[in-house]
Amino acid sequence: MTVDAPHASESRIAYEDTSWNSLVPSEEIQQFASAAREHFASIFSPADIRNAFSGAALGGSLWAEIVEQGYTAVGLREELDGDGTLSDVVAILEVAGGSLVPEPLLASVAAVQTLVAANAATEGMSEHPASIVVLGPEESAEGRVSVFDGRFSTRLAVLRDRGSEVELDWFELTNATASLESRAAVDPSRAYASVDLERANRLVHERLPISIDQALAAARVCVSADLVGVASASLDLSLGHVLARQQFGRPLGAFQALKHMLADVYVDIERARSLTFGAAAAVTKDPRGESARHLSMLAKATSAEIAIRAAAIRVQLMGAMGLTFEADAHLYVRRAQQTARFLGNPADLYVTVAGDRLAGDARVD
Amino acid sequence: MSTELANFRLFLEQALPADYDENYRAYRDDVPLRTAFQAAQFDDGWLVPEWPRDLGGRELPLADALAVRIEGARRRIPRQMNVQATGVVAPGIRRFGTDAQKERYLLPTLRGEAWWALGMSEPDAGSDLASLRTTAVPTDRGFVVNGQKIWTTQADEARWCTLYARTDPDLPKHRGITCLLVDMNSPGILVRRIETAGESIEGFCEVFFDDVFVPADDVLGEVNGGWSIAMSSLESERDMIWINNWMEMQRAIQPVLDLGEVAPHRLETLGRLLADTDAIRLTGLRSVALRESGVDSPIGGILKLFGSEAVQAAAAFALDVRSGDGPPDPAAFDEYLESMAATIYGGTSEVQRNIIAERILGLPKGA
Repeated sequence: MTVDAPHASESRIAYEDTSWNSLVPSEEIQQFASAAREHFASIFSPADIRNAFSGAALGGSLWAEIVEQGYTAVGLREELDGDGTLSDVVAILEVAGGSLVPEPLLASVAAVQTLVAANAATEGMSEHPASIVVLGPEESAEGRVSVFDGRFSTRLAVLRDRGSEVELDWFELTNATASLESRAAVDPSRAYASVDLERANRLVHERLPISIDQALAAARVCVSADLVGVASASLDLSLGHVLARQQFGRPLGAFQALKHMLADVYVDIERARSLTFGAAAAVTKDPRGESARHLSMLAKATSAEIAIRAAAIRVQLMGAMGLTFEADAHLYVRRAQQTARFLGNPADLYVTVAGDRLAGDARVD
Repeated sequence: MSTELANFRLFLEQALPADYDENYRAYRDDVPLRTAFQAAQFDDGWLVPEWPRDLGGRELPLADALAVRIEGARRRIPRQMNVQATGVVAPGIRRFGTDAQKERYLLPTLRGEAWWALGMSEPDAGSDLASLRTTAVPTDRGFVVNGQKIWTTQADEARWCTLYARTDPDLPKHRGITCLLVDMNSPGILVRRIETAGESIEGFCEVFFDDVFVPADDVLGEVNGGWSIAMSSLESERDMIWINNWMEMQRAIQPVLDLGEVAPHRLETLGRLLADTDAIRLTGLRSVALRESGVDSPIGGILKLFGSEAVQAAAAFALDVRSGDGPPDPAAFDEYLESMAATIYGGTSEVQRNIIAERILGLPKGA
């Protein structure tokens, strides 16, 4: 065996593939994202999620405004009434994720981006609350399916993994088809719903000659962006706490153990953000390429882990207060956990990419 | 592919032996090749491709210069014999030096003829560099230096040294330091080599200064302005650091990938390391993009910490996989040992975390 021969790895090194400018959002989209952050804060408060635990209605009412503001059209081609690239989607979804907005923006954008990548998107698609369901090769496509953040879905992308190909259906759902799942939702702002596909109206059917991981690349970038937002918001809130809270006569943030913990969270967030923008750039360049497939999986896995960690560290830093119902900390823990496994458990994604690379690099390129 | 990158590849064809790609490991210790390569690389403008032409560059835009550096790392071009000379000293002299100093030192330094040691750490000033105690006392025509440096890489082979010494003990500790360009042949300098833990660790030395005279012309920058030179010296290396970390990640992981399979319980760790490899590259490129667009972004500040720790994790993983349940694989162990240096030199990981917490996150200085 030739150890470490440059020619063996040459084909794997894709630095020329990534135009670095696409890794940084344009000034225009940054302004849009920052306005979106303020807008979300003005139309919704995390306290609304707390109220949902005692049965108050949550979500649905803000959807029209979200569409009107153009958030769902970001990253769509002009002929789809949109503007921008998947990198722009990342910037918006990160802000939305950090705000905990209880509308299915992530699920809807991920669904539409999946159709865009499959060249199956049509005008007006992005106006509907939607979501994605993935069915494994052994899973029945009949009857009821469990839908991520599907409480208000009126559209649903169903991807059936057929090994060497993927069947993609785009359904119209009527009010009668979706119902909240009976099990209590960890995060009521992003609850799963049960949908009866028998009663849904199929609008699009495509057979895609690609693997399920290729088909999901764009959607995973979306999930990754949302989770970076959750992590980043958790860090900001942690910083606010350790600067304000005093113990032993000084701010908590002056203690090195805590500083190092938060420095690590910051590094992890930037790592996840880099992978997310890198994956977005790769998907934009070649949606079905190896780089898009691998980076989208690694980005999503990394972002999921850091969202969970950053939210948990915030609880720890707040002490007992962090575990009260009144504090927002548990809402971020719930959001991170609810979203982390959507479109692939992080551990499974790492294992899949590693196995793929082992098999790929052993091949004669 | 850019024309410049194509030109650089042509240069490599001519400057490297025909079997270099296959046998680059065998050339690792080929001193004549490494020496000749650096000189040729400089003469053709590829050593500092973004620099002005009169200083030996090609005035390439950053994008092209970066592509050239990445290509060089990817092809594992021969390592420079005295890497801190081009990475740290030359950019420092270019930025802070007088015209006479630039004239005298820059070209031989870049060409690999003038070797440099970095006189920074002392026995009681490691991470706390600003508390250094080596003194440079002003005299008629210059300074008289007394004190001791330690962990000074290649001090026994270098002709020159950027020496950081205290010129004003009454000023706050960061402000009383001056950088002197010291001729290591000056009377009163004693260099003692320190044996390293393994061959993969670059040799370092103790250096003793006993009434060493340094002419006034050999001050770099301002008297008492040495701290900003020390800080900027680490900045000028930042792109090379992440490019090298990225390559070293691949160097550690590639032998594992070449196995074709590993035990199932190792796959998750391998996947994480693959994510880190891409994250180093993408964070590096993001930091360049932000810098280019004029944004004062802090993310460059995480690359040293993240990159060095990721490389170390990859080396530990590779050592474990390649050794199985037998004795540690010697080659993998050497790389593992070498990776341990990365989280120490140029600011330990612990100091990096303090810097991130205080300067980026805005947390208070303290315990």
